Amino acid sequence: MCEISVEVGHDVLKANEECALRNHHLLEYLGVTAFNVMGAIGSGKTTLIELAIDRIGEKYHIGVIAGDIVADIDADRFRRYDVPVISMNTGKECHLDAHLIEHALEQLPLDDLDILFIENVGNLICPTDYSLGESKRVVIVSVSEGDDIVRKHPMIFKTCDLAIVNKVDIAGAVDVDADKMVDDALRINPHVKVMKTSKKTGEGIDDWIKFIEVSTDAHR
Amino acid sequence: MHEYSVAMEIYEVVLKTAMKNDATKVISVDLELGELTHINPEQLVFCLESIAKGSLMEDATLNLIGIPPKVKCKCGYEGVLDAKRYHTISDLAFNLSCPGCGNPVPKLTSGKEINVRNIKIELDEDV
Repeated sequence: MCEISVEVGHDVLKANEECALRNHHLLEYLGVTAFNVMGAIGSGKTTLIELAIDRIGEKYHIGVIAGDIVADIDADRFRRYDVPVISMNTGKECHLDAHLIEHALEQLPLDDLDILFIENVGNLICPTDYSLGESKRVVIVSVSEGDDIVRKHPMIFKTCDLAIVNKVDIAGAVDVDADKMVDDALRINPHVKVMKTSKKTGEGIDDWIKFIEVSTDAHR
Repeated sequence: MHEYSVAMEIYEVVLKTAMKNDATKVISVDLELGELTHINPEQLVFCLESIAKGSLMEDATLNLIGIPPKVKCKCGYEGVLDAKRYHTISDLAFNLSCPGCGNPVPKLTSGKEINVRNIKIELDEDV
């Protein structure tokens, strides 16, 4: 009987990063701009993607990957817009990872797409550690989550390209200062683009659409 | 929050390596854990111990090696951040700056590892 030491050198997150890089190269090559849309449950991820499809669905070919623990509720909402939708039920998982996306990409008509929205699982923590191969990382928080939500989850803001403070029309009702959330995001990441939005009043929706258009046109 | 799936992947890698080397048991696992990952070490150990029950890895000692965040900056600074300045991940995200020049967005070059570095195994015969 003897003991030996064996070098392994397997990094769980690095394995995901490598897969994400493959996805990224594929999407770049095919001219697809992918948005990884992250945010808590009820922050408005599905609604903001729906608004985008509604506004620019004629101008661009859009596809969606809808990540959820179970059920097809979000995917069914997107299907009403007659866009290709892949429903990703993660089962027990709290985030999408690059391997799941790799499989979803195989099922999408990527040659025909300009834009791919990837709606991540509702969570502000786990998706932070897992790149998917996206072009842009978008984080959505709603004022109803409280105005300290940004400072409670700094890493996701450190690594995103766009932070959206959503449902600002009800900020007064829930006694929240939306500008504090904006300031926190900018303090954590001075380079992040931040916008305040509301489906009800239409505030900031043009900015959201513009962000998608500019990001996509830069890719084409 | 994803400790279970991370533990599962670690378990599979360890077991695969152990079996490839004809191990009769896994004695210890050296695991590097970056301080910037959203992994709770205690939960990870709990998950690993639960998963490993009844396997070659059941009695293995888990050696967790914390990896502090390192940055590389345009100013030329390259090194570890002063851990005393950053007690929590929240502190770090708010106060992260290059120790060399104060730039608020230096590139993070380490601190996000979940790396199975090496394992110590027991073999039946001398090799």
